[in-house]
Amino acid sequence: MNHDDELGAELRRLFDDERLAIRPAPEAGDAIVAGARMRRRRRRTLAASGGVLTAAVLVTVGLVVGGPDPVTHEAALPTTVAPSTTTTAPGPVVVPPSFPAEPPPPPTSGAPVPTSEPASPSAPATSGSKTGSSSKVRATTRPAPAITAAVLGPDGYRTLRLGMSFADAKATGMLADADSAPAGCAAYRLTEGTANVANVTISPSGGVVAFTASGARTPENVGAGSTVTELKKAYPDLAAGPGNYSTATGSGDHYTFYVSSDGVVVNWELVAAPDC
Amino acid sequence: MSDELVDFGEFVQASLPGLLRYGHALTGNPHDAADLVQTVLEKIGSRWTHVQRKTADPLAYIRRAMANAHISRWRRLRRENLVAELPEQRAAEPVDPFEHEPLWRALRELPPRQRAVIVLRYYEGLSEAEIASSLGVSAGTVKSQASKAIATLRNKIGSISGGRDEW
Repeated sequence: MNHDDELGAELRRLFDDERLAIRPAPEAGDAIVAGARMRRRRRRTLAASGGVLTAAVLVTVGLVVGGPDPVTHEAALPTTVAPSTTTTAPGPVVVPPSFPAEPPPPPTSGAPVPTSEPASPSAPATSGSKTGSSSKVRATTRPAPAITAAVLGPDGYRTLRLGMSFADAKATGMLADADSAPAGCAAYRLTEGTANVANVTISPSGGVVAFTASGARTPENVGAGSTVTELKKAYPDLAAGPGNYSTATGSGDHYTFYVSSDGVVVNWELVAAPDC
Repeated sequence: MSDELVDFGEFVQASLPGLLRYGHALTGNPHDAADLVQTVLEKIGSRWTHVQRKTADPLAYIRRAMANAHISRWRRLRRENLVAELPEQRAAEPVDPFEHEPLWRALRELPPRQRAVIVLRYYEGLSEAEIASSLGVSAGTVKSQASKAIATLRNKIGSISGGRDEW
């Protein structure tokens, strides 16, 4: 990696530019805290009302699991900031926060980058003793996976396959609104609806490059609502990132699972070489 | 308000300018930056004690979560646009301060995944292995995404660099 090439220097200069600053609105912090409180309340309500009904389908006792509120499915509140027009230099360095009320972090997460090792901090605690003692044990409101769930993977969905050209994909009759070939990367819905697969991404050069799952599950029966523990059990070679986990399907493709901060898969994708 | 959220409120106050700036680099415009920061922070805040137990550096954790949310959100946006046909019109769209920067415009046209790799590398200063781990992809994927991105940027802005592309 050549760190000192001119383009790299240009990029660093651009990212250092003071005009990149955005001034927070005065009430932005309050709005965010209120939003966080609302999410937490909703999750607790769900847990309380769902606890009795779902007790019978709990797979593992002692897991910290929560409600299905994926980050990116939420409607955003009205924008809370205005673009900065100030000419004064903003502080380029974020002030490190301090957490006086919190216990010290575990020694394994002392590395400056939280994801630099497999025992990543993005992995939720799974030991019963630790989470149990924090009195945060909750029942999941997710139903157990249906045995009849549609299967997505390892290389496609029904007759649609990763790598298929647009023309071949169109010829399966599974693509909705597939009148024209994609000019850039484009997502297509399926004629069968979006219950199993939310969409299929097709690139002009790479053909079918990704499937975004909705209700579908992997051949190993993992899908939305699965816990990280279940993921790890199904895929021992799982690679962790913040908010997601990834594993090879065996054919050069990957499953990427986007996981909520409490360790539940909120959605996932079957991805070939990431063209898009 | 619980103590947990008081603490989180203080964290937000301190980190918001930096996160908004980072979101601006990641998304390419102030609106998406604000939207991304708010969505991710609300999510994190609802689990604040838990998040702090999991990581020694919540700020770095949040930046990685933003990169991933940005990448996955993009697919949904594309889908919505396909359905709606009409792109959202913002009457009071402010002038982008970087409108006349060729490099900024070139960056904006990169696919989100490639852009995220560039931002993690040149804004955050992460190594290839750290980027791979952050985005949940292989080091080889990071390498190929980065070299594609660099080639595109070089091509778009002309040859401001004669240096070899080692990415």
